[in-house]
Amino acid sequence: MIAPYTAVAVQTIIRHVKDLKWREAIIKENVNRSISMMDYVKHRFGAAKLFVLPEFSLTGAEHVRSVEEWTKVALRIPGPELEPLANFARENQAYVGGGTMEFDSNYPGRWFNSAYLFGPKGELLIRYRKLNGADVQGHTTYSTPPALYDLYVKTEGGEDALFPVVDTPIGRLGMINCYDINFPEVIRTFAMRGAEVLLHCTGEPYAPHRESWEMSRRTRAYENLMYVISANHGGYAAQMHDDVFADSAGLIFQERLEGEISPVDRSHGGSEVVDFNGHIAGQTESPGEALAMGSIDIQALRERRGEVRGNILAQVRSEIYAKEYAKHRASPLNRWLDRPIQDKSEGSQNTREVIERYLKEGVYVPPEGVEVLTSQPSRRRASV
Amino acid sequence: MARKYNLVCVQSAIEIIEDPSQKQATISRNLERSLRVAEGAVVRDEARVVLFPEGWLQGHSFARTKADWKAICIEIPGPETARMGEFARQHEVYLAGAAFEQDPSWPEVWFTTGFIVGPSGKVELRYRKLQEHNVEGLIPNVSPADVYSEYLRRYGEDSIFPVLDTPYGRLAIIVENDVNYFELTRIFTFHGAEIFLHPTSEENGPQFPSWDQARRSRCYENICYLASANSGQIISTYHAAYATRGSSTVINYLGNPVARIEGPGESLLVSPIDLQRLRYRRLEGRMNFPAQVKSELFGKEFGKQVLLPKDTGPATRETGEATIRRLQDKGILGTP
Repeated sequence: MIAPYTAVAVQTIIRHVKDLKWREAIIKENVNRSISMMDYVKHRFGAAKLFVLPEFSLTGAEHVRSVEEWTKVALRIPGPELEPLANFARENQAYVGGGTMEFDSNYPGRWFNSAYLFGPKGELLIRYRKLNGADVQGHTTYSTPPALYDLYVKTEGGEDALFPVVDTPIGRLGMINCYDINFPEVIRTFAMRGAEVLLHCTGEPYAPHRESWEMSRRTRAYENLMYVISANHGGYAAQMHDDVFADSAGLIFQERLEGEISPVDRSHGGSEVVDFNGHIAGQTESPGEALAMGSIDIQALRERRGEVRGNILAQVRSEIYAKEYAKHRASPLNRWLDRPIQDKSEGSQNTREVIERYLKEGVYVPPEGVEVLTSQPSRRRASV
Repeated sequence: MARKYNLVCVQSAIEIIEDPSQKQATISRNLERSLRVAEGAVVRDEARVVLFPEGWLQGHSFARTKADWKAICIEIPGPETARMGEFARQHEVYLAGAAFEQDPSWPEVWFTTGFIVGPSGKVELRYRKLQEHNVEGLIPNVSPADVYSEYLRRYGEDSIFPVLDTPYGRLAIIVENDVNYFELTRIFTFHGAEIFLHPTSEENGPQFPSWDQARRSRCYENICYLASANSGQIISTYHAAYATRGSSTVINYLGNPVARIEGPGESLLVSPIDLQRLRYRRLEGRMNFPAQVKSELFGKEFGKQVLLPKDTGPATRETGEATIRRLQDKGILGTP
């Protein structure tokens, strides 16, 4: 039996690598500050078993950077920059996970938006690469495994590499990044592989449809009888010149600066621990440096998963749904198999092509008076 | 094609059939009362789509025997849908709901069935509830998935996820518990659905705030409307009158509630459906999940693991328990 333990979503303020020459110093600062916040938990509240850091929490996310420069800014997993986090896990007999931009020399000319998890021996337990994002949204240029599916599965030795789940003394853990939470299919696939606790490294700015993300994580937890721990970043600061960060506005905005300057409080914070009923077990209610802590009770989760009533996970008509998904053509696999994505607009173009095909096939209907493409009747007709 | 129109959820007071010999009289009272109540919204608010709750003609009773369950089933189409057809033709509206149905050509099984009667006066869509509670031992009927091969042989592949193209958008029905399964609404969306009609039957309990959450997620992740009509009151000698939460709700394509009844009681919920804006939203690339989802990948992944198996014959609580044991043995569900 696994005793209840504390999990912590560590909501950090991210110092953002703008200029390559500051890369090592800023990553080091982000790592050390994250560790200090985890130390605080230890000193103030006693032992916690599981820590989750936000998406891209060691480098920040620069949306106008070239692929080539990203391969230089990105980290290796495992690698020297992550070692202090692995050491913290070992010294504290804890699990430490987080998100980072990643370069892997097996995939030249590409970079990934990844997540890592270190265990109590300091060992790397999970390396996950974000499955949905730049390839469909068009905000940056990282590669997703589905974009190079055949190559990825071959290189990694199987399809399991896309959905890694690790069985540990604190339960079966899986990881996702940010936008992935909006696709219930991703989380269901993790549940089908036994995941009980989902670590969600996220980076959610204020944006259209914002509140729907909270809704998504609660629904994902409820419909899979799973814990979801979402660590969002609490603020964002970019080094503009030597010793000058974008959060010291008075110092640097004597002139208009070119490039991407994101608002310091671009994030709502709102890191969360959601229990397997879809209820909030811990939450930060603001941006800024903060910790969302909640109790994880794996025994209670397993008992719940053993009940027949309302056991959504054990009642999914998976065979029938699998068949329907397989018949449908939405966003394709292997879209960037032959050459890496080069420009962020390629991701939006990918989605645009599907929407246009949907209008032709009659999956979507154009608004009245809008000259798009002629819509066809829907493929399935009601039959009585 | 209507750009924007009104839909009404009828939060009915349902008289439960307690004695099958009273079946016709009870159904007739439930149906006439519901139609009369709906008429107000149709005439005054020009509602063009009318939605009734799950089981609003017969009521769902836990005290009902297996034999009585079969006895209270109706045929779809049948005399009840013919009566609805008169109303639909007269007012040029679509009427939708869900009832316990026996297909006379397949006497061994019966279904919970969602259906739409159109201005043609005929049943234009018939959907049988997939995520049925029989596997929890709560109702002795079948899901098409229980008898999948035979179901396809009799009704054809297109019968499982039907979508109805109307001047009020492409309509689909999901029934009650179905709303908790994102796969269903996604597949209907793949088939063109824009407006989900959700006849439901929700009591009171700790899980229902999560149902509300799920309802909103279904809309957000598919850029669709969802209207849930729940019962408002139970009329019965042994069920509590307010053993239903009411709370009928309409959610828009952003996942936001646009109209909601706060609690139980016989009532009406009239809500605008802005079809034009839904269709504009579906042209936007960002966060266009139905176009962004890697369907091929998940077709493959979902096919790797059988959760609740098909073709078991009518599922019972034992089927549900055996499934949990199998998934525990395989390490998919942890063992406490």
